[in-house]
Amino acid sequence: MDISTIYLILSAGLFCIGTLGVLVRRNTIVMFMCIELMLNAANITLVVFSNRIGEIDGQVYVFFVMAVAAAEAAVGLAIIISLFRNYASIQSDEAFLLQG
Amino acid sequence: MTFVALLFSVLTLLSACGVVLSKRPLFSALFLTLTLFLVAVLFALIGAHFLAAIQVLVYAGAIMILVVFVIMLLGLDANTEEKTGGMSSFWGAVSAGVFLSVLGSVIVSGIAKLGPVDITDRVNGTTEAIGKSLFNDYLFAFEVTSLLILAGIVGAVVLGFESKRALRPGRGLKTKRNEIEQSVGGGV
Repeated sequence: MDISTIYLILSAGLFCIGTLGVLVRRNTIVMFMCIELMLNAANITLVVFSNRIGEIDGQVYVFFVMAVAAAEAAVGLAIIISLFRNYASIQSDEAFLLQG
Repeated sequence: MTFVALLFSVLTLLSACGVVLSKRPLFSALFLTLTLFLVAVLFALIGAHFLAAIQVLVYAGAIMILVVFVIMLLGLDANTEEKTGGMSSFWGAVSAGVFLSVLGSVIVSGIAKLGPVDITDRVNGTTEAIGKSLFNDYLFAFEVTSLLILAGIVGAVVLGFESKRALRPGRGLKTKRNEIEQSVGGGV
C-alpha cells in the first residue's frame, strides 16, 4: 500500500472522528479538543500533498495553521471560562437564551 | 517504512477515539496530547522535521497546557453529567460515517488515478528550508500572523477579565433566571 494513501486515509478518519465528537458531545471543552483534531487532520493532508508535489509551500501553510490554532485556543478557552461564569456549567445545551 | 507508518496511523486513530469516548474531560485532554505526539511522529516519518518539532512545542506544549489548566481551574471533573445518547448521537454517528465513506472513496480512486509517489524525504522540511520560504515568499503573511496573535491575546484578556466577581459557579444569568422564575411563579 502506498504510504500517501495510508496518510490520507488516516487524515480522513481523524477528521471524521473530530466531526463525530463535535456532533455527539455536549461538553464544550471536549468539543474544542475535537476541533483541534480536525485541524490536525487538515495539517496532515497539507503535508502529504506538499511532499507529493515536491514544493515546501504546504509545510509553510501548516505553520500558519498552527499559529491560528494557538490564537484560537486562547480566545476559545476564554469564552469557555466566561460561559462557566454565567451559566455555572459548560454543557453546550445550557446556553439557549438566544434560541428564542 | 510502510509498516511503521501503518502502525502509527492505527495508534493515532485509536487515541483519537479515546478523545471522543472518554467520560472525563481530563482523560480526553491526555488522549489528545497522545494523539498530537503521534501526529508529530507521522510528520517526522515523511521528512517534515521542523513541523514535528513545532507540533510538540506548540500543540502538545502550549495549547494542551492551556486546556488542562482550564479543566483544572473550573473543576470540571466533579460534575461530569452530560446528556448524550439518543437520536442526536445516532444521527451524528451516521453523518460522520457517511462523510468518512465519501472521503475514503475519493482518496482511494484519486490515488489510483494519480499513481503512487514516494513521499518520504521528497521535500527536505528542515528549519532552514522552511525559514527561507517563510521569510521570502510569505513575509507579509508572517507579519500579519503577529497581528492575529496580538488580537488573540487582547481578546482573551477582555473575555477573561472580570474585576468584581470571583470565578465560581452560580452567580450569572442562570441564577438570575431562577430568581425571576421564583418571583413570577415559574411562568417564564
